[in-house]
Amino acid sequence: MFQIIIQKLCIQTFNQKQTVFANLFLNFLVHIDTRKPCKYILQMKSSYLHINKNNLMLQVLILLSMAIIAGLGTNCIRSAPLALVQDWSVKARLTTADGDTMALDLDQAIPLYKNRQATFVDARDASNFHKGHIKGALNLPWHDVQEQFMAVAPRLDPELLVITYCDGESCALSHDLAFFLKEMGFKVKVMAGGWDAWTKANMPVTQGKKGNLDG
Amino acid sequence: MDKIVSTFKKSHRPNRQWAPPVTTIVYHMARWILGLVFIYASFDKIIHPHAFAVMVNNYQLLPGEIVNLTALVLPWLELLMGICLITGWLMQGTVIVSNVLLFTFTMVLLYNLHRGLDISCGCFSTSSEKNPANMFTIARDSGFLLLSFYLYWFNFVRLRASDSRSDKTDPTP
Repeated sequence: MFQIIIQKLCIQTFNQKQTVFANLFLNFLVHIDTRKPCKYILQMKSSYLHINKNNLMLQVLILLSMAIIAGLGTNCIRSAPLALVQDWSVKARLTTADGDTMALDLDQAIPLYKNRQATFVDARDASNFHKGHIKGALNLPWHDVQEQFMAVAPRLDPELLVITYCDGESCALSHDLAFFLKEMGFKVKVMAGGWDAWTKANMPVTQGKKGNLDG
Repeated sequence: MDKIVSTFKKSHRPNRQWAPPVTTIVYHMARWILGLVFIYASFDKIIHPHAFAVMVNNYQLLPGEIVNLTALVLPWLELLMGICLITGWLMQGTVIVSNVLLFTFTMVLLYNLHRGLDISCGCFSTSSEKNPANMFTIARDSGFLLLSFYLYWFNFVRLRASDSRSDKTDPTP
């Protein structure tokens, strides 16, 4: 019974050349199994190019299941496996191992902005920054952070809080930049709502090339 | 004697088996190119699943619960597809999956460009600094999609047509 199922699967799944190998393998199995002369011989198709729907579905299923087994299997034996389900919310991602969160809501950011207790840093690229940014913000594009950090660093006050932002909730540039600046020794928070939330709250914005703290 | 004459005559007939048409050569080249591209694309992602998971999440299209699962399985699927394309195993299934996959990738890139999301592509490398998703990545993906669609056409339209033709002329038991 088992052999017949394999036989049918093989006929449906493999092409002519592979059927020969499958045939050899199957005969080997059966021979070992029953100690009888081989009698299960797969019928080769007259044309291996013949396509039917079941065949196709089976091939796709085999491919997908092999990928799933390989992916999950290697993850299990990896020294630092990836959790299968992980909390990808902004707050969870910005929380460090000691439980300290870098996420900052708009409501918390506005008083800091009004009292000039924080420096705002725009993590988007220069063209987006020119189109519009928070008034007084500096531009440090995450894509060019290595090149531009030295130019921006003197304008950041190490005593003052640095608040990074980019487009909005869906944008991770400000997160990467925040971790980078934290490594550099700054006090950093991320305004998770970003540019979207800022403009919706009708807070001061400006356009142009250079961010100016006094502007 | 007649037999000898007939074989002699036969040998002078143009034989399709010995002179493969250009399309066949192109087909095998397309198969190899796409296979190597898939294998090359999968390596970095298999080695760095954490970084790739971050990239998948940056696209903001999948719910958080299946981000990690996708990041684990997708690179292996690409590797297997690459191997299958080069060796010819499970060819028709692979061609279908590669068409679906590349079409999805291209659409996702287009959608994100439309949204104005500034994220890295994560197509070949998991380092986020030098691979922004832009028009170039979309053009590249469309090129691969065309190759893949050619493979589809060859496997499902052309071969089937020639197959039915040969069935009519040369009936096999």
